[in-house]
Amino acid sequence: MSARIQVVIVGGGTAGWMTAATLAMSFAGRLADVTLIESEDIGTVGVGEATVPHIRFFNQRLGIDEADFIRRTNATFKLGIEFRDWGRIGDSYIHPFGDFGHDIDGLPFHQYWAHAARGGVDGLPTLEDCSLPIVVARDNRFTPPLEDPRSIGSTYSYAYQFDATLYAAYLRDYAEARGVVRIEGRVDAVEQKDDGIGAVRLADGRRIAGDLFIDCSGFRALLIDGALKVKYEDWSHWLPCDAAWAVPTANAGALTPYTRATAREAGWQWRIPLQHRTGNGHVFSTRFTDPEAARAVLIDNLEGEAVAEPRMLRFRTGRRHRQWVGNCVAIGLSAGFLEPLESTSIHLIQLAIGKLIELFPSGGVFDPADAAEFDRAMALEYDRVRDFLVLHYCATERDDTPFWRYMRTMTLPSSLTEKIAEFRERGIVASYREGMFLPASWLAVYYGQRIMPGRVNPLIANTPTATSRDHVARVAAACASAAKAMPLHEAYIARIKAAA
Amino acid sequence: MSQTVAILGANLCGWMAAAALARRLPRDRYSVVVIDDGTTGDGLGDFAPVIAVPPALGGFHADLGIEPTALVRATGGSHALGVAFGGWRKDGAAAFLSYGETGAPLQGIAFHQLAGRLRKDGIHVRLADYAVSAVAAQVGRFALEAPIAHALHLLVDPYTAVLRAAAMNFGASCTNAPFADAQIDASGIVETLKLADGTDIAPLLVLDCSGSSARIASRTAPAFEDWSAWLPCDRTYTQTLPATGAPPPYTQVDAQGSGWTATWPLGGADVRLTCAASGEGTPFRAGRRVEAWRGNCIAMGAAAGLIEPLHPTALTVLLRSLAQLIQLWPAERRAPVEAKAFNRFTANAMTGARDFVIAQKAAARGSNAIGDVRSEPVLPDAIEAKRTLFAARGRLPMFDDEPFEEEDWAAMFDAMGLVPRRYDARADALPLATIQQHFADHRARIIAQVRALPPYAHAMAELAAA
Repeated sequence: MSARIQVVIVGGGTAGWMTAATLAMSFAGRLADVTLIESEDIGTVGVGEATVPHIRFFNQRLGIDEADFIRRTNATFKLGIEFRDWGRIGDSYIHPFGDFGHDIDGLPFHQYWAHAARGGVDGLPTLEDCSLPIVVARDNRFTPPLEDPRSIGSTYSYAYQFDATLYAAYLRDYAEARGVVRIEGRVDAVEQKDDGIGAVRLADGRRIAGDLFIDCSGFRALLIDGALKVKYEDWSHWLPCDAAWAVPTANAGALTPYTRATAREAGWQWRIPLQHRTGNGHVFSTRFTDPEAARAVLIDNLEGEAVAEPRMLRFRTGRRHRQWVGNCVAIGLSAGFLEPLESTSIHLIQLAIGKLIELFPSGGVFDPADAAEFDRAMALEYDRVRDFLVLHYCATERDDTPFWRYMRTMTLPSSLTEKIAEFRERGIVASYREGMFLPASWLAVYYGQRIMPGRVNPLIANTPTATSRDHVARVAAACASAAKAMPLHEAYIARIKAAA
Repeated sequence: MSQTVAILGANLCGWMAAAALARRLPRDRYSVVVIDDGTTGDGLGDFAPVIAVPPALGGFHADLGIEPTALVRATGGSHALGVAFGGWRKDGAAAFLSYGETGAPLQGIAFHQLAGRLRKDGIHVRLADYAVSAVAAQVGRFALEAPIAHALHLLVDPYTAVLRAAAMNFGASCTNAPFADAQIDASGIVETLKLADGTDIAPLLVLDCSGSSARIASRTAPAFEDWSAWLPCDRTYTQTLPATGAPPPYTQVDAQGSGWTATWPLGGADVRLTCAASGEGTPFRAGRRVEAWRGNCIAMGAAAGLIEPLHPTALTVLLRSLAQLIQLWPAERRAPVEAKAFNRFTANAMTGARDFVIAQKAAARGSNAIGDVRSEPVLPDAIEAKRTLFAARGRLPMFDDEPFEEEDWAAMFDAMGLVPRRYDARADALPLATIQQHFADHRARIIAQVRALPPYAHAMAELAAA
């Protein structure tokens, strides 16, 4: 048996407790002792109350019971994200957690739809009508997908919208029950040694030594930046939003099984419905609007009554050049920040934790190969998420404000320019081995923001449009009938709560 | 009006392409026409009269209505459960890479990582003992159509004839006269293909399947990336030796000087292919065409690129390229967007196939003197990243469009004697006895499965009798 590694996690919050819970589960006190330092004086950001489907695998790995989790975190189900006013003011589309139709003769369904649309869109179901999760979401219904791959009921996935503070508390219970030691305190100083960090000193004078340090201290990045001075790659020229106002409101209207992101004059507004309240926020760029105006935009556009004072966060989009240096690993906001437009914050935390577990320094050996692989994999993830987010801003016809005029004309990352060109010309959506967004996600945003393929595969284009219309009509009818059989989202949650 | 898709090369590569396209293209719009390029090769490097057909082609055959047992019978072929590597490791141990799965993960921890845990305690683990294909190969057992992953060893000529018949069944045709010349305009578009009997064909697309000579692609897209710095073997020769008794159901590849000799056993004969960096033999050059698709000409098979046939990747890459071509099917002769996407894919796929071979030889050199005696070349970054991380802890960074999976890489490095310094830490969180039990259970299942198989000789007899 190797020596037990002393792991010190600096910072609670979502990143800290997700990391602590996973380490506790994976190494169960046999290989590692985990200490988490957090201070009740320091608020957690709690951005990312909305998630993507991978969170379910995270919970499953921990052995968390879904119903119990739903009850304790006031969670709701999420089938996608509605985007309003992005391509044009008045537009609305949903990026679903699922497919659009199914391949026919090995060719992608969306090309059949685009072909059918050439014969006229009158009476043609929309592409959204061909995605079961979208149809279900628009109807405010929810039920988990079926397992039978032949059934249309298996063509989607789902995530949650939850109270991140409650989730962190839930994971804290989980982790502490499995031996994680929580220390209340504020890190005041960091002691460095040759190959990284030796210990941290708390404000009350305590000294906490360790073998492996995880920086979950959020934007402050106490270890990776404060002590190790790892540079930050700034992406604010592509993603200029740098601040957000957040405020919870009382629920109003039907409980939507989706998050909403509404484009505003110099940013966008989120709406995340939970069981007991709705999270709202306005992400904006201080280059294009001032905080007071941004606050007013949020207040003027709330559906329910505000139940707290709005508070403002500042941030800078980008990522740390290296996220694992010596014996220090940055997870969460200390590693990078991408605005929560596609609910990626928690997912990026989850990916980093997964990599850390795979590359865990057993026996306290810190091999540069491990850090290099962690950096490679995480950089690729951040870069690909970035490209996907930038797509939302650049694929627009909006020119009503200086913000949108900047966004639609800025120079894009070359990786993105190439992708968009291939879709615009020929409907090509490349799939890649790593990177979280699958072709269906790209399709949703392309079509939702009015980028249509200039031509489709001639093997489809050469057939009568009536044939493609038939395919589309068949899929849309199947989606409509499958959706009708599902309970309302609200009723489904009520049933889970009643079963307690 | 019907458009012509011309395939240059009435060989294995050409007829495979013709079959794949004829199966998918509507006959009323496209005519798939195969043109003899006047050579006798297979279009895939002409390495041997036998070719190893990897398991990945099973679905392709099924789609064409080619039934596997009938195929082996018609082509005088045999089955291969994997490849035995002799003389590759310094410790002299034989190594076996099977086409099927090796072991099973436990609680999300990869099998070879669990093996690392056992080895730390001095327990000897040979991964191949936990692969049903490897165990069956070792004892010479196999049943026709047993649900065990396997490749086929097929004679090239009869296999070509089977694919030719399938292609024609789906509407492909063959010109009466062979290729004479191509008229290529200034922008690299093949306007006309001239045949020896004076016929002109104006193609929408030309698939250049004419092998390394790349009779058209060498003119439309001459730039070639040379890989000989990493793959110095540049000649091959074959021998056919009489063999008695039932053949073993696997390929044997023995290290030989600076190269290797593969033995493909068929009923009644062994075909031996020797690949070397000097000496006698037919020369070839490892590398790839920088733009497989340029203008309206798409290079396929050896015309697109060539790697020594240590693993049967040429057919895998060909098949995937044809699937890509269907996805990117062009409406016109000029299709730069489609070509760019296609070229990105083929570059990734061929480079991935190449890297596996380079890495295997480098790993063997690491424990042995195999390979060339010249100074070790600097390995491409992707291989260095894989080798470094595997050596550190048995994991592998993976890249887009690679033809091999992470498990293949792990099995190969392990077989070549590269032992990771550490293993997945989660394996330490499990009781040792749990891991040992997992191994014992898996081994017992495999032995039971292999016991139920007849000797391979029975399968061959059954094949001959029908």
